[in-house]
This record gives sequence, C-alpha cells and structure tokens, in this order.
Amino acid sequence: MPSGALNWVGSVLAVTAKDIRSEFRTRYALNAILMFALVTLTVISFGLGLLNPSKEILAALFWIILFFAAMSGLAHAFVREEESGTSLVLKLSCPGTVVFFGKMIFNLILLGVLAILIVPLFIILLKIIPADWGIFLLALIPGIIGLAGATTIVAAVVSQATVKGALFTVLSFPILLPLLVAVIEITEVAFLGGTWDEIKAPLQLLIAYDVVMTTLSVMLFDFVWRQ
Amino acid sequence: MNANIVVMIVTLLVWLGVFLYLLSLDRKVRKLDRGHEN
Amino acid sequence: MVWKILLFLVMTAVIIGAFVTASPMNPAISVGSPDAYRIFYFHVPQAWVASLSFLVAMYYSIRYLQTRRMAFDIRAAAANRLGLFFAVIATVTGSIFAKMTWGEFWNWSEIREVSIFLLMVIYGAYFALRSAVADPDKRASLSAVTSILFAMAAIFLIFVLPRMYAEFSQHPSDSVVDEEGQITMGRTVALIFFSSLAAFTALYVWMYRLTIRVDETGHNRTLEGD
Repeated sequence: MPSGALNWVGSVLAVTAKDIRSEFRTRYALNAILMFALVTLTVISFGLGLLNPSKEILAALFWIILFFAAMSGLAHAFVREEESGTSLVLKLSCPGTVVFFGKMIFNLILLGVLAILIVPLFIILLKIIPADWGIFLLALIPGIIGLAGATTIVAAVVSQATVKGALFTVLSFPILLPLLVAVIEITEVAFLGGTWDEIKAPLQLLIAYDVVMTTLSVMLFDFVWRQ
Repeated sequence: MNANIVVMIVTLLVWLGVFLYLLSLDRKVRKLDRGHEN
Repeated sequence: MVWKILLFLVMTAVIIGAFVTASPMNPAISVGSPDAYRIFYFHVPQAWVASLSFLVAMYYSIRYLQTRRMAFDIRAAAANRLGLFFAVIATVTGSIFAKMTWGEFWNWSEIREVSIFLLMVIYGAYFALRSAVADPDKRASLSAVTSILFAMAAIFLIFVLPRMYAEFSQHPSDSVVDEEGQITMGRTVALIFFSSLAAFTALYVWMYRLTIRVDETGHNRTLEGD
C-alpha cells in the first residue's frame, strides 16, 4: 500500500480513536443508545404481554428499536464537537473525508455494540429466534453500515443548526426509509426461515443503498463541514 | 347529473378566486419591481 | 399576459369538460361511482406538478452548491414550498376519491397514498431544517445538501415501495394503461386530461415565478435593511 493511503487510513482511525476515548470518558452517546433500546424493548415486551405477534411484525419491531435508538445517540458525534468547541480544530487539521469516515466508523462501532447487546435480549424477551442466522446477519450487518453511512452526514447537518431538537430524527427518517424497508424484508425472511432467492432483491437494494448513500454523503460532506 | 353540475360550479368559482388572487399578487409584484428600480 | 388568459380559459374548459362529459372510468375494470373518477382530471396533474417541483428543487440545490449564489437557494426553497402546496392538494383530492370509491379517506396499504405522504414528510422535514438555522448562508448550504440526500432517498423509494405493497395497490391505473402498456384513454378523455396537465403545469410555472419574485423582494429588503 502506498504510504499516502496508509496515512489516510491512519488519520481516519485517529479520528475514530479520539472519539472513542471521549466517549469512554462520558459514555453519553452509548448510554443514550443502550438505555433507549433497552427501555423500548422492555415497553414493547411488556405491552405485548401474552399476545403473540407474527414473525413479520417482530422483524419490523426489531428495526424500529434500532432506528429509534440510533436516533437518540448518533447525532452526538458532531454535536459534541460543536459544543466543546473542538470542531474548528478538527476542520483545520483534517480533510473532510477523513473526518467523515472517522465519525462514520465511530457510529458504526456504537451501533455494533448496540446490536451485540440487543439481539440476545430481543430473542429472550420477545421469544423469537432467527430461523436463518445467515440471512439475519445479512440484514443486520449491511443494515447498521447503512444506518451509520446515511446518518453521519445528517448528524453533521444537525450540528450546524441553531435549534436541534428532534431535527435529527425528522431529517433521518425519510433518508433511512428505503434502508428500513429493505432490511425489514430480509429480517422477515430470516425469522420465518426462507431461501436466499427470496432475499436477493432487497439485499441488492440494501447493498446499493449502502454504497450510494455513503458515496453521496462523502461527496456532500465538505459542503456541510466547511462553510 | 345535478351533483356533477353543483361540484362543477363550485370548482369554477374556486378557480376564479385562485386566478384573481394570483393576478392581484402579480400586479403587486410588478409594482414592487417598478418601485424598486427607481 | 396572453398566456394567463389562455390558462384561464383552458382550465375553465377543463373544469366544465370534466363534469359535463362522460366519466373517464372504465366500468369493465374499475369499481365504485363513475363520477368519483372525474377527479382523475385534477388529481393526477396535481401529483405530477408536486413531483415536478421536487425535481426542480433538487436541480436548484445542486446549482447552489456549485455556485453559492443565493438566487439558487431562493429558487430551491420556493420550489419546495410550492411542491408541498401541490402535494397537499393532491393528497386531498386523492382522499376524496378514496372515500367515494373505497369508503375510507386513508389507507396505508395503498402504495400511492404512502408515496404522496412521504413526499409531504420530505417537504416538511426540509422546512423544519430551514427554520432551525439562523444564518442564511449556512441555511442555504444545509438545505441544499439535505435536498439532494432526500432526492436520492426518494429515487430509492420509487424502487422499494412497490415491492412493499405490491399485492395491495388498487390505484386505478388500468383505466389509462392496459396490460400491454398501451394508452387506452378515449379521445375526449385524453383531450381533457392532457389539457389539464398543460394547464396545471402553466399554473405551476406562474405560481413559481411569483413565489420567487416575492421571496427575492423579501430577501433584498433584508439585505438593504429596509
């Protein structure tokens, strides 16, 4: 690998590492995400009581929990920079793409931790086990990559706003909708147990979404990050 | 037949109202443009 | 001035024609009251204009990012505003038809209803963003970026949504295009429909220009500190 590329990867990971270190100190975003997911999961489980929702509904519920948990915590990557005043330093010291991928990987790690914790709890509380783990992972992994890829730039946009409020959720929802539809469909097949043929189309869409949205976000990021 | 005619008349009136409103807006904007150039 | 008079006459003719001629409904394949289908002459052009405005907004958003000229931001915002306006109207006429034909104002399983609803959500989110940013330059770039992201998502949704609700679509498209994809509208129906389409497009252009002019004046006033 030419040294330029290696430097780039190094810079990206440095941004991520710095974010992980800050996060580790305060655990603000992580707490927000985990707590939200836990509470939502508990409320759903409690609310359903003795009802036996269909596997299709459970697939949708799984992603609803992930979506809202992501909404409660992923904006933090940029908001923290603005609030602590370190965003200027970051803008001066790193090119836009480095910052973008650094933050995206950070968000990806947050979501990864969330997934690792929520999946077992989901299985236990809602009494469902994916019939096909392979398919389930094919939904989960590209799914959270897509979540991180699409929301990172939205987080950057929201961090520049004067009034943040529910803006992150309001903006993310339409953008994430294609991802959610595709990923829920694959998860349904995973829960019901089906063939790989069934998921070919939504999976193609999912991968296309991940690639296109991440690329588009990278291209647009500088317009947000540098005024 | 009757209901159709009623709806048609209502629609025509609405359209007339919209059109006249847009015309008045148009005129106001024209005046502003002219006034601004002075 | 001439084209405004023309627009008035054409639209008036369309309205009269829509209610006086036979209903465009094809009784062989459609259900419900034939008169409800007259809405087709208005509803479809409205939805078309709402979608058109969306594309116009995306175009001007890209132009803004390329040039950073405020004029483009004004045009993008105006297009989004007008698009929202027509989307709401299209939803209302669509609901009226739904109530008359299927008995309910809204149905989440009807994929077109979902699409127009999402279009309104996107427009609404755009304005939520605009009202949340005070600085005009920042507002312009953030709006432009968001507009482009939304457009991409909308393009994906066009491919995704029909899969979601394939079994459920009752949207009457069969009166217009049959299995072979040929247009099967009768001559009168086609005449009225395409005139309506032209009239609504002209109406849109007129309203768009007016909106821009009004917005520009407001913007200039702010700059000069009136």
